[in-house]
Amino acid sequence: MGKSSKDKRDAYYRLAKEQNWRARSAFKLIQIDEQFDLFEHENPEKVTRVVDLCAAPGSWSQVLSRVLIKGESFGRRAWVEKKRKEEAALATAEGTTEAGNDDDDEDMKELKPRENVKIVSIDLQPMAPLEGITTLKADITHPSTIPLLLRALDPEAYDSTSSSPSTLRQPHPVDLVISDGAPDVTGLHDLDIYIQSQLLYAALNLALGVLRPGGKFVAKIFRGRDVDLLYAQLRTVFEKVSVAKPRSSRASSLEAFIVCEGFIPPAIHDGSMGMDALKNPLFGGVAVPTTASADGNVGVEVMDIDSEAKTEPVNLTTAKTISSPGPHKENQVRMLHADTNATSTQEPISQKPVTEKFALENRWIPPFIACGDLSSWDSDASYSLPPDHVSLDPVQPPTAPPYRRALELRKEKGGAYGKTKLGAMGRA
Amino acid sequence: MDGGSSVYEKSIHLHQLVAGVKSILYSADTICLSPTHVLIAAGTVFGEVIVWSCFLEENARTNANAVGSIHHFFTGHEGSVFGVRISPEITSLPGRSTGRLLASCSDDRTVRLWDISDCERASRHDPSPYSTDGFELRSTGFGGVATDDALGMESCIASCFGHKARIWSVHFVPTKVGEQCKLSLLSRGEDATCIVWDLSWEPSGSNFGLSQVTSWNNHAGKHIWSLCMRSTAERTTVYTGGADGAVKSFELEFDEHYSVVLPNRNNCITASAGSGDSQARVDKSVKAFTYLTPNHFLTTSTRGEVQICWIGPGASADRIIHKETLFVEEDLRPFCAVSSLPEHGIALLGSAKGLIRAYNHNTKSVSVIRESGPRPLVLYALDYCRGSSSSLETLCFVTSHQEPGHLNLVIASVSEGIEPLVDSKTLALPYRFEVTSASLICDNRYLALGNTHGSLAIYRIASTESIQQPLWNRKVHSKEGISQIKSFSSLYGETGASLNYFLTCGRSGVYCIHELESQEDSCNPVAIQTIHRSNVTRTIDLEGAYIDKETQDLLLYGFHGKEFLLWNDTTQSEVARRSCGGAHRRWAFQPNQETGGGLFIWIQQNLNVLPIMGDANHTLRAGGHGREIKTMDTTQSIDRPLFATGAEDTIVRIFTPTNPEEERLWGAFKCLRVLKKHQVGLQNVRWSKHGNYLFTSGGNEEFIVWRVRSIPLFGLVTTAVQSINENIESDLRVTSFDVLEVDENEPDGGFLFCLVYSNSTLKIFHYSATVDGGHFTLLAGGNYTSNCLTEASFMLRGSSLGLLTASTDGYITFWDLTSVVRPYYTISSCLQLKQPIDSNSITPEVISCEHRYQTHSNSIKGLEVARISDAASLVIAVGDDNALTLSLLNTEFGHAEAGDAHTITIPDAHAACVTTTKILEQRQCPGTNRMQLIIASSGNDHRVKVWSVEVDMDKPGPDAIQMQGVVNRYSSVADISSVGLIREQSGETKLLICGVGMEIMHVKLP
Repeated sequence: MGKSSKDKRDAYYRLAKEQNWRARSAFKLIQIDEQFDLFEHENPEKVTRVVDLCAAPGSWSQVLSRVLIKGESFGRRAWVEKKRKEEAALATAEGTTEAGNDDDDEDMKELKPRENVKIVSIDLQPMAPLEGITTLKADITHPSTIPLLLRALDPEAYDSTSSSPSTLRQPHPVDLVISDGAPDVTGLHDLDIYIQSQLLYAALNLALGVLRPGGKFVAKIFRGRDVDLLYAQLRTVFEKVSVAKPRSSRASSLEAFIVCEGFIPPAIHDGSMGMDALKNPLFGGVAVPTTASADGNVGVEVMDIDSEAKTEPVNLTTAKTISSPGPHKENQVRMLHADTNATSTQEPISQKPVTEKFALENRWIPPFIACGDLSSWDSDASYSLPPDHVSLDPVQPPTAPPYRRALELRKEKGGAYGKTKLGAMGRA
Repeated sequence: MDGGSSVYEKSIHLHQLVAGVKSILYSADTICLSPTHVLIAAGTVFGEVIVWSCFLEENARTNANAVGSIHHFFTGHEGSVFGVRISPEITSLPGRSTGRLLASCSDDRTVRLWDISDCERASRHDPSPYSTDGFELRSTGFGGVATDDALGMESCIASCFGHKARIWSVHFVPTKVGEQCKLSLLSRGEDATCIVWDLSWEPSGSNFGLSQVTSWNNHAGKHIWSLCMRSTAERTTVYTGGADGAVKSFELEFDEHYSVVLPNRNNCITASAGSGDSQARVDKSVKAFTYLTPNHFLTTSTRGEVQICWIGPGASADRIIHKETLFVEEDLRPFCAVSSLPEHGIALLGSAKGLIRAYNHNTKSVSVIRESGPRPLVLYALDYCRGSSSSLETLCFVTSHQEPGHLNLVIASVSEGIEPLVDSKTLALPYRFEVTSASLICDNRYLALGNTHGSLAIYRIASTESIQQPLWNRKVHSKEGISQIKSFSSLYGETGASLNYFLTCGRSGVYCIHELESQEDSCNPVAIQTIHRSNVTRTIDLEGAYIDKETQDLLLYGFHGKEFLLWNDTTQSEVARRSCGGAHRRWAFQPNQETGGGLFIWIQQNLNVLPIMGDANHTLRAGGHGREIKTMDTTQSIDRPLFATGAEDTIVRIFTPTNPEEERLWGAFKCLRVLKKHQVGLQNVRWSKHGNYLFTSGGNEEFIVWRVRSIPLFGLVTTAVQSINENIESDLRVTSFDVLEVDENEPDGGFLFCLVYSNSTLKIFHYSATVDGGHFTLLAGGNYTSNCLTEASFMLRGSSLGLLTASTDGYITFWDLTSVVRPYYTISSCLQLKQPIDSNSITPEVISCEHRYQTHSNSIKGLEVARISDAASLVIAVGDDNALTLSLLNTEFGHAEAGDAHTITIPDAHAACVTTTKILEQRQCPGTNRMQLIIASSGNDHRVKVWSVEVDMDKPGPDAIQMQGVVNRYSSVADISSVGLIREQSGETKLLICGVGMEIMHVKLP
């Protein structure tokens, strides 16, 4: 697909170039903030220390930089300011207030840089530097990333020569951990969903070691098979868990974002943070397997849960009824699962006996929240462009793919490699 | 288990021994070198290969003291390592040493080899070269990092590119242990290709050379997901499984130098010898050839020799071409035209002077049919029959005529010892008609000629006219020309003789089936209709087609660039591929119905013969789409259910469910036809009510109307009769459409379509099946907001016509089309055209939306509408927000309440995006105002759910709707896009699930 046709097919791709974002995914974070006020624009001191995992090419870090360091108005703050302006305009039109209050416009342009901002961005791929942001090139699933991250967060406190850095406590925990990480999808769905979940667990394990109580965690999630197990796991360490789908994320993709608010440090960590917590990760494949019996057996017998035997009809429970005068008279919400949308904290499922891990009660569906205005651009729609539209170059050329050498070689030999569809596939 | 109890008779115990480096690994291979030594190789996401050992204690049951020791961190791959493989023991490594190699493959498109011979000798007591537990401060990730430690210092011994996309795995081909300095490897990749590699080295010295021997691309779409091998002393059979669901195999043989020989590829024979020759040699004198039987061919040479050739038995390495000289004729030296009927063993030879000889292989006799005539630039043997008396034979052929622009149709009666009786008729060719193919069709009553520009001309055999003009002459193929014409009798034998169908092959990669109808009309005594037109999914310049007698598979052959290709169109797989210089060479192919293979001969410097084995490349399980299915619709044809699928691979397929026990090649789904015409991925497919039309839509604003019917022997025939493709440059998607039959009881009825687009517009078309063989007229258009429309559904209620659309903003919109369509149709329980539509006089009207209401917080993915009464409809919608909603919509058009809705929302109907919903059944409870519905929903959570719904019109508001979940089943199909119901004749109900793959599940409906 050419640059210009991509402009038509993908409104956010075009907007990203126009607004100087490194990637269209910047809008996803902005729209999530619009809904959840991640950056707490009214209490700026509450969000100053942020870790951005799987950051390359750096559009989320760019949002952090422009909101926290430069103090520009995006997301929730921009939305509130826009609403205020609209109300003022309405009031002016109705003559209830004096005209000529231009401050609002200024309000939106006003820079509100925050103090003591610390942003650390990590990715496997090298990333172009951003002012004020510490960038690390590392694999977030690899244990060696832990000391790298701790050192970057608190260079003074971290003494790498110390004989036992494992006793290190994080003196300055962070307020927010975000991760837009996804594997290069292979096309093998089970594998892709598994790897994405492991990536999410790796991010969560890191977050557990650096996040302050009450902190927030936002990460990309693939809404596929058994995602309800993943949701249930996340609910054990946060007060509130929602699944967010920004308008800028295509409805045709599995992608969504898990927004976890109100971090509750798990009891088994006993308040310890940093290396200790990180060395014994709680979640995912890296967690030490719990033995099922005294002889160290970790095997679990799984029953065939999908037998046809269970054919009892399932009744729904009415939760609420919303009435409106419009053509849509009444909307009655009926639940399939009683605890859907309820938030409660339980003991981490990973600590439960393995036999219970996959039980039905350990599946949970959080509320689904579409983010961004309905009036904002539709990532699934095609737009026509004005005839004089000039297609801009991407702000940042894409990271050199690992097969760059293969491309060059084929070109040399006269192959049409660069033109085949295979060249661009599989890289989300 | 807790307490050690188990529900199974025997329980499996798993113990963790040691943990390696804890990071996400993409690949691993393990072998046991000894009872106490396990060697492990692993590939990481950022391009490292880790080789380590786990040492166990001897005789220890729990192995609590197992230790791990890392031997190597191999770096160099520039992308994730998707496959690693430890070689078997090699005794002939450089320096006559014994050891093992490690092969790895990666996102960077390389296959690399590493020497891991030292690992074998390691023991638990050796200090580990790497002491990392992974917690040191060290950099991970992509990009060369200069490390001062020992990491990254070891380099590979060989590396090579080959695949066009990611490589998923690499394998060592088992070979006989010997002194050879050579190994074969196989790799499989995202490009659906399997590559055979040769790894060679010098006995002394340290240079390894890795090179590609050949590549295999026999799966549709992307990816070969699995590969395994079975080896005997002589050969290795390689089995591959693709994303298309197919399982295929190919053979690798090895010559005495341990080099790979590939049947149907490089096992070609060039040496030939006559009976008197002591040594076989390469023959460069052959000029022309033609087949006498599937095993014998006749050659003519620059020396005027006419020889019979055949391939002798023996191992492929030492097979030769046997020759036997029939006769030598001086007049055949400068020029010789040949044509034959291999099924009868008859060949015709034409000299420059127009002398035509017939050779009968059954009697090995030669007879002169014609003494002189024009130079036979055209010579096609058409038919041969042995007459009633055993000595009388009739031979029919066409050849050049004295007059340019004419042909001679010759019917010669040959009887032994008597001068042949020759009846010669003159056929007038259409203007500039260069004949490329000729065949008798329809029980030998007509002669069909094809030309270089794709035109077909038909003549009557039994004509008495002195100069016969073509009865019918029209272009049926594109300008690349017609390469072959075949009657159903030559395709299917006796059973096809009485049928008036024939097949033509076009060099553009299209084959057609035509039906000939004799008419009373004296001006147009025959009419020919193209009832089937197929684009072959592979790029092949088609040269011919035949039906395999045993399997009834359709086989096609032709050229792809400089390669000859034999393609099984039924199983969508390659039988043979051979580089031969291209179609402009002299070549001939003859299938062998006995062996399922054939012979391909061509001249490239000299005479080459490729014996094609039918079983060398085998299809164990024919597959389906190579990419995910986006849409599916079912229909019930006369004798069986059919379903059409449209996929991301731009292909539409028509399947029928089968019994896996009966159809081993197909399993539960038999693909009847592959429809290739869309340029981009499919969005929606729908059958017409009676299943005689299929409608498909996709990107690029493509919308195609297909005519589908069934004919004897060949089965389903399909043609794209008309398409809307107004703007080729457009990248708008026709995301959905709905269709209503117009004048459905008339044979020439039409359709009313509503197409919705990704730019929030919709268009209403009338389609007439008879005008110009299919014609669209735009009646109206409309614009929603800027949100992409995702679904459309007509609502014919009373004398009104409404439309519902759904969109990515979660709204359902109601449009009243009554006033727009009333000028053209009478609206009642069906649509009837008031008078024929003259598309020139119509100015499309603009329709605007009447009402809308939001049911979902994000995109609506599926919409179904059930008519409850003329006044009310049940609207079922599913969406990205995990929800299923049911709205009771007031459809009293013109009333103030029209468009009012009461909704039931189930926000947690599924755990992820709900992509599809389908009404499976709808029934009125007799004597009540209650309607019962059974609906299915499914989505990305792999769950298939069936719901029972009852709508009681006597109750107010949302309470009118009662529902229960009745089925909740897991499906292994990922990205489920569509569900459908199949009702067996036994009354059994099955759900059909399509997405990344297909599944049929028995479901008992309430």
